[in-house]
Amino acid sequence: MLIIAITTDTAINQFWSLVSGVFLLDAETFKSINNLPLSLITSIVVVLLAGLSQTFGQSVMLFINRVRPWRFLLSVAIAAVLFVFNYNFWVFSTWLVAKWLFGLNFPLIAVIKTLGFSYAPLLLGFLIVIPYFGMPILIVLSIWTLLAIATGLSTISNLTIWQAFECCLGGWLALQLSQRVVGKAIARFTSSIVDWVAGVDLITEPDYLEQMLYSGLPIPPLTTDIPDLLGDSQQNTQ
Amino acid sequence: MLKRILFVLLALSVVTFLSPANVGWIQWYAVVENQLFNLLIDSGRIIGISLVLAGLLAPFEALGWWAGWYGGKQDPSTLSLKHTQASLGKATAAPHYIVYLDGIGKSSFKYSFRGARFLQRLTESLPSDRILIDNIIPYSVINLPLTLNRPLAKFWLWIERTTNLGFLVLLRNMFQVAVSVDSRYGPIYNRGTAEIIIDRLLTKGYQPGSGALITLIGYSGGGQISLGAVPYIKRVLAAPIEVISLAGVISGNNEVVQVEHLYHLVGEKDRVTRFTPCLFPRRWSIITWSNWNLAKSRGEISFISLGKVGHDSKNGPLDENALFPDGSNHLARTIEIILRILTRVDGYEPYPAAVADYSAKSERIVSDYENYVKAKFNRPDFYPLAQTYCDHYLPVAEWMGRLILPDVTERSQVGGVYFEVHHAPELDLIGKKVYLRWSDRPDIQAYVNQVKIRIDFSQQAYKSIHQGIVLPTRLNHWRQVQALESLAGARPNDDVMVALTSVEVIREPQIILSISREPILITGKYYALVSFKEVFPTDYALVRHYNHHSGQFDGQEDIVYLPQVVPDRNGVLPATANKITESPLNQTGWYIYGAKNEQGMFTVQAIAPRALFQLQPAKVISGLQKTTDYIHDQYWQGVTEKKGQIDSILLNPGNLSDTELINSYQEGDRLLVLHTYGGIGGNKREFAPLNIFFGHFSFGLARVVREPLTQELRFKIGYGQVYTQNTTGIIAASLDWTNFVGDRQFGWLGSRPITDIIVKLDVFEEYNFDGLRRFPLNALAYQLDRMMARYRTGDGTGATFVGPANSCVQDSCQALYQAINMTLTEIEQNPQIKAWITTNPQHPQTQRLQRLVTLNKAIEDQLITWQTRADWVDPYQSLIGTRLADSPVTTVVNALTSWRSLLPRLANDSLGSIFLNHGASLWLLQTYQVGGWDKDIEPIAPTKLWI
Repeated sequence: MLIIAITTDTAINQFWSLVSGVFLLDAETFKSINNLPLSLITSIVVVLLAGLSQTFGQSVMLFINRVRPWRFLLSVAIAAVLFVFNYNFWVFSTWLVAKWLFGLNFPLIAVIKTLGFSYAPLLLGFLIVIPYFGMPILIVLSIWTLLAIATGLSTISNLTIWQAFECCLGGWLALQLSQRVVGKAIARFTSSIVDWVAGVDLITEPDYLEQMLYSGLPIPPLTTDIPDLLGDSQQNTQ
Repeated sequence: MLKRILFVLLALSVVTFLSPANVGWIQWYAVVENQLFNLLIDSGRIIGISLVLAGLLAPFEALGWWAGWYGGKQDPSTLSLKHTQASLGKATAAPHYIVYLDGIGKSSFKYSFRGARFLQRLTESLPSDRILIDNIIPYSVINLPLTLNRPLAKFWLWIERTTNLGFLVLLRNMFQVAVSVDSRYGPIYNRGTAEIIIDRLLTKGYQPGSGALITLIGYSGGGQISLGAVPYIKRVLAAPIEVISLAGVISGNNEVVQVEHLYHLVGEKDRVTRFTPCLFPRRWSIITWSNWNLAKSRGEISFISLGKVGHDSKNGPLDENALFPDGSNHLARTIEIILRILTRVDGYEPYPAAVADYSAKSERIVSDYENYVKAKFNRPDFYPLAQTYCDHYLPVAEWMGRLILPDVTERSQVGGVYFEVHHAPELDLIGKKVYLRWSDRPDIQAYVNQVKIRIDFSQQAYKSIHQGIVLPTRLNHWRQVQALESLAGARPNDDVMVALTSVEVIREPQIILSISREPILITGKYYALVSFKEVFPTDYALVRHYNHHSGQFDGQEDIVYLPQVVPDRNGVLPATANKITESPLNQTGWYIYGAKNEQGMFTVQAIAPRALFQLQPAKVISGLQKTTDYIHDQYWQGVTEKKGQIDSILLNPGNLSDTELINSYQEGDRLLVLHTYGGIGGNKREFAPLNIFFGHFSFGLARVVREPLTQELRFKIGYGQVYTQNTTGIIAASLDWTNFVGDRQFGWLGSRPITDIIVKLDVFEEYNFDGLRRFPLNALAYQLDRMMARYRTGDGTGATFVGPANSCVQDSCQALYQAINMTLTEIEQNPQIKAWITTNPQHPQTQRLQRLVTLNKAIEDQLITWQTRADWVDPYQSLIGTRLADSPVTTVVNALTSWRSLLPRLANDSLGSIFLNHGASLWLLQTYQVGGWDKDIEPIAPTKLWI
């Protein structure tokens, strides 16, 4: 009986209702997240799934780089894991900003739980694949996620929605800043992981991508000979 | 009948609503309504989910193909050249290839009934030398029909056979069009379809680089697919491409500006095509920076109505059974329009994108050029071909003559332009009209092919003509206009006089002069050195020739004709003979250029003060700081007081002795020239907004030559004028000093202050890597030639305009930037040069080369402040002939990115300083309204802003 009671009340069991609550930006849902058991695990699962979905949605880069099928799957999976790490850094910096900027004192774990669920709209990230309409979908999902995050943050603290936005922005800026300072090594490390998994050195610069798309075509080489258009010193008009 | 029906209906409704059965009815209705609603919701859901699924799956055919997931022996994304080699043997070499891309109803190679009929009719009516290519599945990157070798092939086969399910094919293919439009997948997808098209063209014998025209006909979604493939086809086949969009769905995301012309055929009842623009922001007119709007404003898109015609199937453009009020059917009309486009001849465009609007209220302004050529002495026919001279007159070049533009019908035969030989080492050719062609040398041909373009005047070009600007009107609607044609046809009359160098004469089967250098525009075919003794009111002048024995002007006396020139539209006289005998320059003499008229009287067309070109500076300034300061703010000082005079100042940053420095200028030296001119002030002051005189900038080349009449060394200057079309009729081309400056009618010597800075820098001298000879200024000459040829055609729009992003100075500097890149690339990549450097690391030439690299990088740093302009990086993106108003955002961004080359004098002075800092000596040759005395004008220095 006890077991049943616990299972009926865990975040995992309530997964879909919680997720749809977040979709609707329902403040009650955010409140209940913190009180449910297993909500930490579940929130990380949400982030992981969102990461998977979004990376899949943006997988065109892997295709352009001609990654093999099973490496493709691995790459998407690794990217999703990296997404989770990135998320945690961001939560941490947001939490720090909230603490210093607004003098708030709430547990980090609560922020992790709430913000994790706020990523729910990104579960639809796979829709970005849809040609032409994918890009507007990405924009809509991003705004939706941001709204969910701000709502979540303001629910677990006493912040107004605008202050919550400021927190998010501050956290994001702090993250960018720290990435500039210490992030190069991390970036190099992650990109080497990604390249290793993909089995090729992934090229992401637009110029090189364009070059790649022209590779293999029998394009006549541009003549590097500079035509002698001035002639010798002896030949001249008087 | 109607009454009876109404009666029955009334009876039925009475029975229905008033009878006791009423309750039952209502219950039944409620149930049905509920179920119907659910049914609607359910089917909506199913449709929604299938749409999302179809959308999710759509990109993967193209993506998987590119990533090589489908396997196969050969890398699917590599197009082999075997066709080219195979077809070279066959060499069918048709002049025109036509590729048809079908609409989105396509599931297999089989055409729909109407499509097949269309193709049949088209094939029947096409001239026999055209090659039509069909049987391409535009909606599969691997050209694979839906009904073959696919997991769902059976399903699609069934769909094909089932009458009412065709919309599924439409849906599937519509998503493929969306893939082509998508900025992420589009490049891959379009590469795939382009590869199929290229492959088919090569199979049918297309020879890359042959310049044979390719027309892509895209029906419905095929319109988008054709435009998507264009950049790849253009790059691989170097072909001119025209696109006919037949009720085409076009996103505007493509490189539509790369096509020579787009004909957009739309029916008036075609809801699909009319709705398309709503879906694609780049087709909205407020998105001014989109390629679509750019192409539109450049006059590259012709909008053609198909009449009251729908999008497809019944009542569509291919329907043979749907009739117009005049009795003709839709298909016949469509075929007729397409045929008119496909078979049009040069010079005539049945569907122009822009037309001259003669309804304009303002009256047409007559160009200065038109006024000038009313004077007989400004026309070539004033000077008879047969000329004889005594020793005092010498020809200015070995080969001279007049360029004549061939008629449209003669173009393919002439393969260039006609040349009326006026002076030649081979005397029998004089007076003959021969062919003038480019040499067959591969590097020359590569250059020639690069600047070939189709010309269609834009609306703005027509407006320019109305405003009195001289445009190449004879070349309008010509395809593949080449550099010689754009030179000969730059003005409405055949009056371009040129000198030719490196001429090869071919006599069989007809006389051809083959050249490997751009012709140089000259004024005056013969010249003499004289001092004016008296100018008579009759416009004749008494002159005394130079006597090389005495070194004085005590030679033979002569009478020459100095005709009164025609004033420009502001009333300014380009030259005057008034008080020319009192000019301080008369003592050292004038070179006079011209020819004899019918009466045998030498008519002076251009003059040049001898002292200006002598290697005798009036002043030498030494020291790096002093010379830099001089360039910085002193050389234009006191310009008003110097009216009628010249300056010859030698800047010597290296502190050499005067004689040593002057003696370093040796016969045969080829030196870079920086040219600027200023404004016209005084009573007839020219209009200058905010009192800013922008002036003008160009590069040029000076040679040190031994002048045969005096036996002394002198500078001989020519310019690479990147010059927008103008009222005077000055052409963007290689212009000799006599033409651009000295010409008494068309030149600026008498009316503007001019500075030519001659740059002497050892790193610009010739290099010799064990026989591989390289002259660095060749790269600049090459890039300038290209730029000038493009200016003459306005990149196909017929006109160029001065604006912040494109102007004489911006585009001369662009040419310089490209030349630097070219030079650096060659030094880095040429194996022979690399090997030479490795074996001779300490050789002075290696050190000189290193200094050339450093100099080039310094210039690059100066030109590019934070990043290179997008259109400088990729020459394909650069488009001249676009005005600020046509694409304001791009223009402003571009202008700001290259702000260092925005103003002529700023660019000139900063280049001058860089050269000084790299050890160059600069020789400033300045003239301040030289010749006779005109009391109504004053020289004004070009405005310098910043620094």
